[in-house]
Amino acid sequence: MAELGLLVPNVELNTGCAPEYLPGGPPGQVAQGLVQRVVSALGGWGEVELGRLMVYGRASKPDRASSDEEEGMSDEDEDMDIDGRGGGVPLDPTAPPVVRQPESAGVGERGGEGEGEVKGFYTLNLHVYVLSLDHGANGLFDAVWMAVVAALATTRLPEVWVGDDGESVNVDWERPRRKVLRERGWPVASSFGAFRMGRDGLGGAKKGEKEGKGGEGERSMILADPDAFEEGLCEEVITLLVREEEGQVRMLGMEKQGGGVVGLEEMRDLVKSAGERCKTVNKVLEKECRD
Amino acid sequence: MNQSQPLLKTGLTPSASGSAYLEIKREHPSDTTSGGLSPRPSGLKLTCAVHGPRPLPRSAPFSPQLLLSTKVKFTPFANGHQRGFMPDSDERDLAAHLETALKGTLLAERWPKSGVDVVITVLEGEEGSPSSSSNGSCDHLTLLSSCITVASAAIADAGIDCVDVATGGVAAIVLGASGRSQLILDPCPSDHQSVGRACVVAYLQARDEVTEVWAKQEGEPPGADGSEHSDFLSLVDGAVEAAKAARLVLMDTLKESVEAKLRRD
Repeated sequence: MAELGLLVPNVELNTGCAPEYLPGGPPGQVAQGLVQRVVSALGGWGEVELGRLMVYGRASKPDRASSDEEEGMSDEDEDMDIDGRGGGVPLDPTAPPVVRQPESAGVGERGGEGEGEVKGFYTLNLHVYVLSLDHGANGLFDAVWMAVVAALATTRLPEVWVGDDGESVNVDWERPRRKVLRERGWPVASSFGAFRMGRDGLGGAKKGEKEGKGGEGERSMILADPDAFEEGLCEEVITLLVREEEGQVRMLGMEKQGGGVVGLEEMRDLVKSAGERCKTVNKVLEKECRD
Repeated sequence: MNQSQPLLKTGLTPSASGSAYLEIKREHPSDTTSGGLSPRPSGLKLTCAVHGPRPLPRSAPFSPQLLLSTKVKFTPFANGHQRGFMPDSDERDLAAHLETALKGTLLAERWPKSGVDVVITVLEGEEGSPSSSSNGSCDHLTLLSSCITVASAAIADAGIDCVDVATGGVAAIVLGASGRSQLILDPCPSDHQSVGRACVVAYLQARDEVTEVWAKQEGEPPGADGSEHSDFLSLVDGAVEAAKAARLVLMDTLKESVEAKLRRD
């Protein structure tokens, strides 16, 4: 999957979502970093398999159909605006197909969804468009990941195949469209920040109105889902990517920057909290992403 | 006119000084000929964020007035084809017309050495009728009129001093099925096969002023003879009527928005 580059995420931040992100320039470091994190999270998850994206045919020339799927989103401050639709570019059978020779072509008989040889693959372009931002890069990743999962969950790819002449791409509108993801058990990312009090006159600050937890006595506090202001004050930031499988919380990824507050004990609490969030978000996604 | 009431809300982007969201749903007859991977865009969705007034950078020359900077950006999925991050000619054109429309409303002399950024994002654009290739012009006009309305709402939400709110309205002269030309207000681009002339205005009703007029003509205008001058005036009048209708929606929205702000404080 990684070699063929079939999942192409793109995060657009220069949208006027915040005063420093006005349109007109190339993607900056934050946007590029986010894209890289999404790519590695998708790879680590491995849910979108090669098999679901295959295009079969009987001809001898390989070619590829490409489709877009898109997502508009805003910051996750209780205001998720999912504008996810499966696909965007109408597949015109008379248009010349985009030809790209896959290096390690999955040519050969594969059981399951299609007959004949694999002639090409669907490419999924994921566009995440940030409408409103008052979180830092880690909180933003949580929202971007949720948007990506929701978009993939609602993606429906029509059945296509390459004609006998090897040139035309045909669509079968009668067959039910292919889903890209399973029904449930989607991973969710949660960010936390560890704030140390009692330094440089910051002692006694009352924080953690959300799900703040006491860390080591009164000297530090862990904030869930910190916004940009809070993240800037935290010395340590942790992002957990978890999914729920048969009642168990499984970790798919973890990123941690900084240190000194969160040890193994605190990490257990964080994983539990991330599992709770995973349950909540999955409920919302299941409701909204139903056919 | 088969469109539903436009939905206009302010305050959707808390990170901006002011913001607004506009959505217009269109009813499309189900199109079974071209399946497509997704249903065709069924309307228009715009969001606008206003940042400012904020101080100009130190290097900027002194300006006794507020410097307005408008940007229009299409998302890659708005019209089905991708765009790069540099603004293309459509985006620049719309931004220039929008700036003209809004400049006439701002009390710019109250904000020297300051700038304000108005950024419009087109989440979903309306497609013209696929059988008519010349409808691209009408698309832009209806889009500009919605941009004007949503930008005015966002500027009011940001609390920037204005003489009045500007709203956009479009009128077009189209060739009807009977072969006669008729004046249509707020045309839906995909409904009409051939649009002869179309015009968008930005109108300030409290002062009865027009701050922006943009008119286009495709090919031979239907019924072209010596009456072109009065045709154009009736086109502008029609667009002004459409703008008045949009103003009703805008005023309702702003009332709600002010009430919500007062409740919060």
